[in-house]
This record gives sequence, structure tokens and C-alpha cells, in this order.
Amino acid sequence: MSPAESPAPAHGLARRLRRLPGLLAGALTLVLFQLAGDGLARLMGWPIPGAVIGMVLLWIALCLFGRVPQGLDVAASFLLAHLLLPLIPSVAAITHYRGVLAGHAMAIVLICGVGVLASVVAGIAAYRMAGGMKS
Amino acid sequence: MNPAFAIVTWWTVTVLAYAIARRWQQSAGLHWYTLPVVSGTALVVAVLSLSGTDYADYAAATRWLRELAGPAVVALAVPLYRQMRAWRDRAVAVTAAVVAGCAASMLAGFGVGRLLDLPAEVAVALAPRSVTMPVAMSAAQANGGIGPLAALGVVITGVMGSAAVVPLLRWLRVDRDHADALLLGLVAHAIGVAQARERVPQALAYAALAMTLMTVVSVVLLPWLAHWLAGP
Repeated sequence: MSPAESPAPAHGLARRLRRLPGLLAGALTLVLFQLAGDGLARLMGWPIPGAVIGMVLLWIALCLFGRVPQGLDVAASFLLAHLLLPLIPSVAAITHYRGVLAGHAMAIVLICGVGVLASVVAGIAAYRMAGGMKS
Repeated sequence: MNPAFAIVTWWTVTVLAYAIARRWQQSAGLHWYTLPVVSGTALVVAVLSLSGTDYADYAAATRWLRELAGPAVVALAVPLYRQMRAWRDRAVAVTAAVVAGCAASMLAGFGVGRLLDLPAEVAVALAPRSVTMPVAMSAAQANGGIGPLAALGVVITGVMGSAAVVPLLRWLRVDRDHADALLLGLVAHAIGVAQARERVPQALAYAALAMTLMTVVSVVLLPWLAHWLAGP
């Protein structure tokens, strides 16, 4: 192709289309690591969700690979930006448990509140003692 | 309702509710009630009750949307890898914080449960509150707790934690990005990680790391504490 025939500066859409294969590969990578994590958890009988194992496996893979492929980067940033969207249907399950909620409402709220307070105080104290606050 | 139609309808409702919630958060600022899990869910629940839809039907239609939470958690490996240089020096301190925070959270929960004379299946269900919902439910059930109640404890803790952690740290005179991110991930799991992404994106890896370690530590500690609770 001669320079005269070289394409005009890509439009937003054309540029996005060119990135599509990489993006799909990135999304597929995330799904495959999730499935690998699920499989490993089931195989070993670990009571840990597959996604958490998948995250550790992907982190190890990235350490071995030495960099983050662009498609994976784009797919990961998109999912992380909308981390709360897939949680909405699960949280809406609250309506399903009105009975449990009514029976122990005070206890539930109290335990959660005291728990937050206790874990922040203990967590930051341990972090400081173990040298986490040194710059 | 036709299953395909139900899927399209409820996905649209959920995504729209989320988009409205996000827009509101951007204009009204970061408060507990502007968190998309709170305001977005409230919108969805309102639509469900106005249309007289059973939660089970909604849950079935949005199954694949819920499944996206998995790859989103896997995606946390990217900031974890990118910011490795930052957290590697503090890996020991982060682990210490997670073990202490987890033990304190569970002991405080059990202590309050004892004071209020809660039945063991309720107290155990409310022990793993700072982990992602699927883990909390399966861990609680495996140790004799009520699964759905565990999910509830997780949500309430996530919402409370993501709102209270940063003000609490300021009150304790701690003002460091990595400490904010660490405790958001430790206390408020995925909801806290999303909050850390908004507030301290440069330290997001601390939140991801804390959430991961917290899951592992909680799952290991719970059987011990449940056993101790069931004892004399």
C-alpha cells in the first residue's frame, strides 16, 4: 500500500472495532480463569469461591507473563468500573427474607455495626504494629 | 412471562436502575444512600413490588448478570499485579491487619450474639460478614448457620463499612491512601473495593489484596469459632 492510499485517521468506531479482538480475548481470559478457579475449588473441596482462586491464578499468570495485555486491561477496567452492577440482583434478595429480618432486626444491625467498629480498630492497630504505616 | 422476554426486561431494569444510581452518586457525592448497591437496589425492589413480580422470577432472569460478579473479581488481579511494588513492602503488615480485623469482627459478632441470647444458627450466620456473598453463604451453611441470613449480614456490613471506614480512620487520626483502601477491602468486601476504586484508585490493590486474604482467613477461622460457640 502506497502512502497515498493509507487510510484516513481512524474514526472512533473503526478504532474501537480494531480493538475488539483484543478486548474479546481479554474478556475470555477473565471467564476462563474464573472457570479454572471454580474447577480447582470443586476438585480440592476448598470452601473458597472460584473467582477468588481465579484472581490469584491470574495474578500468578501476570507475574510470569511480565505485563498486562491491552485487551485484558480494557476488559478488566470495564468490569471493575461496574463491580456493583452484578451485585444488585443479589442484594435485592433482601425482600425475600423479610421474616428473618423482622425477627432479628436489632441484633443484625447491632452485630454488623459493632463488627465494623471492632475490625477497623483491630485492623489498623495490627497494621500499624506490623509497620504498615511507615512510609 | 416468556423467559427470553423476562431476561431482556429485568436486565434492562437492573442496568437502568444502576445507571440512574451512578448518575445520582456523581451529582450528589459519596454517601451511603448514593451507593449504587443501595439506591440502585431500592429502585429495582420498587419496580419488583409495583409490578408484583416474585423475587425468584427476577433472580432467575438475572442469573447471568449475577454471574458477571465472578469475572469482575478475577479482574482485580490486574491492579493487584500493577501495584505490586507498592504493596510488596507491606505484605506482612497487610496480613497482620487482615488476621486481626477478621478475628475482631467475628469475636465482636459472637460477643453481641451471646449478650442478646441469639440462637447458634443465627450467630454463626452473622459471623462471616466481611466476605463476598457466595462465600459467606456457603461458609455459614457449612458450619450450621442460616445461609440467607449470612447474605443479609454481608450486605449490611458492606454498606455500613463502605460508608463508615474512612470517617472512622480519620477519627483514629489515620489519613493514608493505602490504609483507606486496605480497610475498605477488609471490612466491606466487593462493595468496599468499589468504594476504594472511587476514592483511592492509586491504592486499589490494597483493597483487592485485603478482600482476598479476608476470604481465606474467614473461611479458616469460622469452623474454630463456630465450634467454640457451640461448646459450653
